[in-house]
Amino acid sequence: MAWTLGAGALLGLLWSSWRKPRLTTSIVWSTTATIFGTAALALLLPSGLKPTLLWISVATPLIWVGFLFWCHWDARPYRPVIGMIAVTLAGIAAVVAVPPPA
Amino acid sequence: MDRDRRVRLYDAHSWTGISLGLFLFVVCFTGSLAMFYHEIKSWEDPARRLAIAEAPVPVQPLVDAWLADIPSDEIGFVGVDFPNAYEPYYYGRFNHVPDDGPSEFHERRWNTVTGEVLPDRGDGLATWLLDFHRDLMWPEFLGGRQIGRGIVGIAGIVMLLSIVTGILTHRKILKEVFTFRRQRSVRVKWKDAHNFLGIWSLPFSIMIAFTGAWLGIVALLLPITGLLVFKGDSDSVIHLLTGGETPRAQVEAPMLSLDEVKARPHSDSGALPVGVFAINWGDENAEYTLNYAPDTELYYYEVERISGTTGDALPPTGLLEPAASTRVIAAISPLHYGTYGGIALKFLYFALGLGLSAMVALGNMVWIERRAHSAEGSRSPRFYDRLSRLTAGVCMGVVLASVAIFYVDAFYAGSEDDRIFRIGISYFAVWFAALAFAFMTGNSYRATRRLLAATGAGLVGLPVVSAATAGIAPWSLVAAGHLAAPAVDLTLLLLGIVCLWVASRLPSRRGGAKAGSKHPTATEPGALAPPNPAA
Repeated sequence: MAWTLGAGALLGLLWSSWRKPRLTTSIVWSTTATIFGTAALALLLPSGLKPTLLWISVATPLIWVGFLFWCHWDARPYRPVIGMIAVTLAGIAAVVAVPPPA
Repeated sequence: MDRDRRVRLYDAHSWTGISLGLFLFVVCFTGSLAMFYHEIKSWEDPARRLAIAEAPVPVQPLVDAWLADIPSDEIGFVGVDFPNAYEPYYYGRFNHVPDDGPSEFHERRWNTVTGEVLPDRGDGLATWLLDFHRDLMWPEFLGGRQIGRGIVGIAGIVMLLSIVTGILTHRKILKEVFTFRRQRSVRVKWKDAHNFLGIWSLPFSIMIAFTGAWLGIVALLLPITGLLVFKGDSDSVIHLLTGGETPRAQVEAPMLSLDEVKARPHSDSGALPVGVFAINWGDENAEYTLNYAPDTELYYYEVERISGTTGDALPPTGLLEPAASTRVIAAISPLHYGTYGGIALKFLYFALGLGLSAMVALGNMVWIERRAHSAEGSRSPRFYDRLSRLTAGVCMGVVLASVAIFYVDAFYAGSEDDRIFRIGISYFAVWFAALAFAFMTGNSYRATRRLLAATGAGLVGLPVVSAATAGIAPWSLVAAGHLAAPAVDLTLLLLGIVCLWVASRLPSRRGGAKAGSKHPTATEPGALAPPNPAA
């Protein structure tokens, strides 16, 4: 049941990304890219985890606004969609692959 | 920048404004009022008008008597705030964590002259104004305050995006700094006012939007990011950020007296603490965290940790550790709430906050006006009329509701536990009534004018209500050294006069003459024609 719902939601998202790329990217993909991108940065940056996490928290509003701005700046509507889905997937991969800090 | 890109950015600016502008207005306006939390608290709470004792009674016996029946190992924390100009009493709170039940929060206030326990005072007006701005008083059944805080944080993100897109779409930004065409149509005046306010308050707007976004969304996103990093282990996140709490040694030990702690100067500034927070009460591993008023720096408090039994200094942990990152984060909250520069800075923030609210409302009104009365609008006139009324009702409604709850708080006579609930109900009742009024009255201009007049009349009456319900005249309070409540009265009176004056100058219909003016101002197509003297 959960898998069906999840697959349905993903298909719905992909469909709305195709039909309304800037709107869907603004609402959904910019948010997921911010969350998973910042988590991946916290794991991958070489400095201490605590200062990294704190600096990333400071940068989070700017990163999010940067993604939102990109949605409207880019002349090609699908480039931000692809870019932010890629950031989201890369972030998920980093979170899954990199072991938690000791 | 090419035309297409400018149009896209303008569309983003317009649509964020028209879809979330009213929400932004509410957040900005309530934030302006929240600046004066302590002053409004002094206005509403009679206990804050007590005399501050020159030689206050010792606080330790008061706290000991309060905690006498609680086993020390069931006390989660104890906090005591020492008397100051805003809170001229001891304020204590502790968390009781029984072995066989849920934890309970207790609080109490003591008169510093007699040591008597002061009557309980439930959260009321000031708390509503502050918390509605911070987290919309988001109900528990919808996820609780943290969700509300995150939603307010998203308002900060939207505002930042609006600022960036607004700057980039204005080609003549320097010219607009000094442009205000008073003789032109209402739409041009609104547009000029929107641009003028936006440009002059730009540094403030960027700062308040960024800090607001951080304070809001970090409450949501930092735990999520931390949980992703630690694969769901929330304890590790808390330990990383706070440094973790020292566990109890399970060895009873006498606490260092709170009166000794109260007299302990800051190691650098020599200032005395304004409050203290203790963990592991009555245990060998007890710790005091002493809060000092910040010197001139961007801190809420300067903090020192000491042993709760020996008084030896302890190293800072968690977010208190000296580092660039913790320093930046410690500065965000004082920057947002303007706590670093005294009352003059609060008034500056208040004026800029109101300017920001007006800018948002004006932006919406320009958008509606342009579409309602030109070929640019693709919807029916009724749609734009409704949108215009909605804007008037929501914006003026929240202003009127904010004034109305001053009356509700002043006349409230029920249980203290219910005070904030009643205030909340009244707030929404007045807000919705104003919204309904905006839809039922002739047009949105008239609705705005009448709601503003009602707000002005309400504000002018508040000092009288304050004196009548508190039973003490403002000048008597000034003579007693309590300036906050009379200053609030004076500010409310002045704001009321300003609102009444502005309401008297506003037109009652589009293109109509200003009230009291002999000269019609209709200058654009679609405006209602002024009366023809030859007819």
